[in-house]
Amino acid sequence: MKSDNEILTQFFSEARTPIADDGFTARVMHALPRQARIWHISRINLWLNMATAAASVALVIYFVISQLSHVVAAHHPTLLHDNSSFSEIGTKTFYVTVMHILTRLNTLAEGLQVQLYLYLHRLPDMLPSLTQILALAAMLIILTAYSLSHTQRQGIAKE
Amino acid sequence: MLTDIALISQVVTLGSERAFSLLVERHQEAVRRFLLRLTSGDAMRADDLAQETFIRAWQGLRSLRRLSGFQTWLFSIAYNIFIDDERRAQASATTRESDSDATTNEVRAYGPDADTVLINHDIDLALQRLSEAERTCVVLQCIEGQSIRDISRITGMNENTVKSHLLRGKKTLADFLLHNGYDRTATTM
Repeated sequence: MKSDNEILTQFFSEARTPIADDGFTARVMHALPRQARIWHISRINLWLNMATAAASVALVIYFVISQLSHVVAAHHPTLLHDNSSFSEIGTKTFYVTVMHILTRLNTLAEGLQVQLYLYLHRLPDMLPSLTQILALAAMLIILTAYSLSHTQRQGIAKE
Repeated sequence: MLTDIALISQVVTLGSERAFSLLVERHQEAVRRFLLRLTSGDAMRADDLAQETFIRAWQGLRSLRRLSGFQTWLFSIAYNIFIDDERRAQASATTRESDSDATTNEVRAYGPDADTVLINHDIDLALQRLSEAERTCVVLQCIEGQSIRDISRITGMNENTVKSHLLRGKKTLADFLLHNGYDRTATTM
C-alpha cells in the first residue's frame, strides 16, 4: 500500500505534460494593445530624441560662434576708416557691435573649451578606464541610432 | 540565452517586443498548464485567460518589483484573471461546456495522443473534487513546483491558510485516488 504522498507524487508526475506553443506566442504578440505599445515606445524615444536634438543644437551653436568670431576678429582692422560716410559709419558700427558680441561669445566659447579640456584631462582620474568611456559612448550612439531608426520606421508605418 | 531579468530590462527600457515575445515563449507553457488545471481542462478558455495574462503583464511590467519572481508574478496575474472570469461566469450564470467539449479541447491542447488525453482527463476529474482554493494551492505546489511562500504571494492568502488548503486538498485527492484504485494501477482510472 502506498502512502498518500507517494500516490500524489506518482499521480502528478504525469500532469506536467508538455504543451506546445502552437502559435500561442504569435497570437499574444498580435493582440498586444496598439495604443499602449506606441505610448510605451514613444516615451523613451521622445527623451532620446530630445537629448540628441539638444546636444546637436548646442554643438552647432558652439562651432558656428567659434568659427564666426574668429573670422570677424581677423577682419576687424579693415572695418573702419577715417573718411567714412554716415551710412558707412552706421554699417561699420553695426559690424563692430556684432564683432564685439561675437568676441564676447568667443571668449565664452574659449572658456567652455578650457572647461572641456580640463574635464577631459580629469576624466581618467574620474573613470576607471578609457575602454569603459568608449563602451559607454558606443552604447549611447547605438541607443540613439536605434531610437531614430525606430521613429523613422514608425513614421513609415503610419504613412 | 538571455535571462528573464535581461529580457525584462529590454522590455521596460526599450519597449522591445522581441524580448517580450521571448518571455511569452518561455513562460507560456507553465501559465497555460496552470490555467488549464484551474479551468478543469477547458483548453480554449485557459488559452484566452493566458493571453489576457500576458497582455496585462505587458501593460504592467514597469510595476514589477521583484525581478527574480517573474513567473510567480505571471501566476498571480493569471490567478486574478481566472477569479474575475469565474465571478463573471457565476454572475451571468453561464453554463459551462459539457464534458465532451472539454475532452475535445484537451485533444487540441495536448495533441492527438489518446493516453495523454485520458491521463489529463483523470487529473482534472480528481482536481474537480477540490474547492477552488484547494485546487489552486495543490496545482501550484504539486504541478508547478511553487513554494508555500510563492503560493501565498500568488493567491494573496497567508501562508497558514495555504498550508491548510494543501493539507485538506491532498487528503481529499489521495482518498479519491485510493478509492478509484490508483495505488494499484499506475495508469488511468
